[in-house]
Amino acid sequence: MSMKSGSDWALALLRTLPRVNLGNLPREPYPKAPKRGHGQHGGKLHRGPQKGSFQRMSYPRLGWEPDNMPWYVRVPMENYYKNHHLKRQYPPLSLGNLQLLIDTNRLNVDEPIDVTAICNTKLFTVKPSERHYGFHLTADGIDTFKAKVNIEVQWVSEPVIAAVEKNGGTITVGYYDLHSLWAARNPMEWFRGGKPIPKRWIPPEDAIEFYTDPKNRGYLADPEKIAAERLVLSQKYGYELAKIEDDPKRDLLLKRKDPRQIFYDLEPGWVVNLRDKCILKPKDEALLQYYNN
Amino acid sequence: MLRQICTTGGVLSSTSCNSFRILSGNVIPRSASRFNSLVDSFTLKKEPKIEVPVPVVPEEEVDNALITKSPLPLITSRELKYLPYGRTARQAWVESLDTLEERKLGLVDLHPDVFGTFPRIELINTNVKWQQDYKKVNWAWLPRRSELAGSQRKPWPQKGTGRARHGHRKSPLWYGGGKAHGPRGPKSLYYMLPFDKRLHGLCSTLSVKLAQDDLKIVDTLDIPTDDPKYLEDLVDQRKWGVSVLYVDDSDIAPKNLALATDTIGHMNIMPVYGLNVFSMLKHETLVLTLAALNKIEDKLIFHLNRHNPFPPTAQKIPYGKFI
Amino acid sequence: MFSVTSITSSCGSTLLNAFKASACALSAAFTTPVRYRYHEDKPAILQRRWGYEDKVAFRGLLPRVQTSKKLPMPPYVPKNSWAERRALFGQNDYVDILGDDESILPIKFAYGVPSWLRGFRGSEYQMLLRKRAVFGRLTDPKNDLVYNAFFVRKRLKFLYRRINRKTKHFMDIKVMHR
Repeated sequence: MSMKSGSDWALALLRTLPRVNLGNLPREPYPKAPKRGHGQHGGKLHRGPQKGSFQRMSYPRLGWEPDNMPWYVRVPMENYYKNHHLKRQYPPLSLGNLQLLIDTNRLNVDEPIDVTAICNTKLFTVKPSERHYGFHLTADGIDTFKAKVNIEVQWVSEPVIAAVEKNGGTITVGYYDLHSLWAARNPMEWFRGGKPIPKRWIPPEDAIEFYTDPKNRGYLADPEKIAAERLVLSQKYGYELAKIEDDPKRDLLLKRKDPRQIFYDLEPGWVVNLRDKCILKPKDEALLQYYNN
Repeated sequence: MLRQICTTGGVLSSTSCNSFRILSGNVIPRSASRFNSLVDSFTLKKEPKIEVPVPVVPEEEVDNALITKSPLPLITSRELKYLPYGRTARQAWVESLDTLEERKLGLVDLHPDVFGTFPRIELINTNVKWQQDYKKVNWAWLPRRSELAGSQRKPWPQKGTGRARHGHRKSPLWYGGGKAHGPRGPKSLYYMLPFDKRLHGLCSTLSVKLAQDDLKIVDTLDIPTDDPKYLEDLVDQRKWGVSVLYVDDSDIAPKNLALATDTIGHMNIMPVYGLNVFSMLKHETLVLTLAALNKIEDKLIFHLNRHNPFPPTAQKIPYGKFI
Repeated sequence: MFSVTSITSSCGSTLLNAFKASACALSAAFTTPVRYRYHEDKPAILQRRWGYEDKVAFRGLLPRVQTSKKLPMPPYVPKNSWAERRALFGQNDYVDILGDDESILPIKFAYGVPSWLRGFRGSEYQMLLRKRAVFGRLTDPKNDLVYNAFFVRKRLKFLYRRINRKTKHFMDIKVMHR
């Protein structure tokens, strides 16, 4: 664990040297580039080259750029799509599609539905290489959605939450970073590579607000506040909120992942050995500290 | 030198000042006879001690002395956020200002990103230069020829007088004339050092201070008396140098320390938000309380690990706006 | 020709006699044709630089003798490097990092800088533009201590012409900032 880095050596050296104070600080190591003189200080050609327009000070007019269309003729560019390729993408999955997947037995209602389950249908998938950060559950087919599920998606709108909760189900909105999604979209391939299950990172600064908001059923929100918001939403849309406590599927509906967890019942840091059919768990303290924090 | 001999009463072992050596038994060699009168004036009546014994305090007394405090050790470790892999925490003793003698209350872990970074001294220099320069204004101003009062008449005809030709009494050639390329103040030398440079400047300075044993950590800044002599003795005994900077979390310093440092120019108190590179280097020793240490580390670790592409100081101040 | 004795006998006043005697000796000394005269024989009547004191000592170790006139130089007073403003110099410079509010800028505490220059750096032209923007429309008579509208206007006019008509260059930014 402990190794001596360059800074440790440097600090050890400093112990043998006089005290650093205002009088013995070194100068900047990089001197400034010398300027070309002006007038009596070396140059007589208006700080320019020896010939051409710069010597004669016959410059092109203001705004002139050689080899470019003049700016006042050019079609103005407005960067509508600036940094668009860097934005998080959430490919849509409609409620109608979800109902269809359930009706055709591609999704099992008796188990919680998450990215891995949806990708396993082989009809919908996320591509982390194209900056897909998970599924956006959209409201198409909201009128025909009848399933009672425990689903975890990455982006939703308010009517969709209402539709899921009206049927007695629960919904969670969780953030997956790209590296985790590679594991989540195809776990078998991941396990076959012998790689340990990564830990999920917390959302970036601009997404934290969304994922900690109980109105969005964020996975980092306070559960008590979520319960209150469930009631508020039911009153807003005018349906009777099902009591999860009395539900026979109570355990299923309340099953949640840890914010660092990718797969249910598997912890980050574990290595799933498909060949020997066993799970290898880390013991090194550094690894434990990394995966538990 | 003499004062040192007389007050401590010990033996000076330096070979370069044999004439000053006082042997045990209060015998002064003849070679030092010309200093005899001086030495006598300093009351050398007691028999000088040869060795200063290390004060051994019995365990019971220690317990009694600290009975009002929490049990020792006060602190042994701390939780460090964002600890870089492969780096261990740096450590420092926790001391107390209660007694003149140094007494260790515990051990603290210090974050290697703050107290063990690479000591970039040239970056420290950049920080100091910035501190000195960014609030300077060069007020130098000299009038041009057009700004001087006086006649614009030609002093004498161009030809026929035998004198040099001149057209203007306010020309830069003339005594009392204008200045051609003089300073035109007020010129503000303001610039803002980038946020990260200032952040790493602070970390580097703290690391340097710790590495050179000039960073002391105490539990509180409470001292028993408001006597300046007590502080001077304490600093003298613990070999903290002359100048000391005390840093605490709160804005209001303890009464005793405030009164004691009031008359001593080279001992100063600062709140955490007043800490800066220049003051740390100007003072020989930096004394942090545990609360101040926590706050400084929290702030610096937060800024070191956050994504902050546009800190407020990087933004330009709007044109024509008063600050 | 007359002799010395004849004059003294004819006049009664001894003072006058003495003067005349010396005058006669002088005239004799200057009029007597002497071809060679040693230095010690030269009359000491002409004192050169009478009333002048040498400020520089040509003997001894010190460069000059202590005279009543002092040198035009202030007495040496060592500066107190631990005066309060020096001891606490720079204590708000990192307030945005270590303080609780990030939006408080360190330059806010530069009380030595006039408020209209805080957080500003620029050439003379830019400085005057800023000055005019701040003070130009104020009508307070106290304003005139800081802002001389006539000179600012005159100077801005001159600088505008110089920058736009004389210093056109590919290094324009540097010209503006010098």
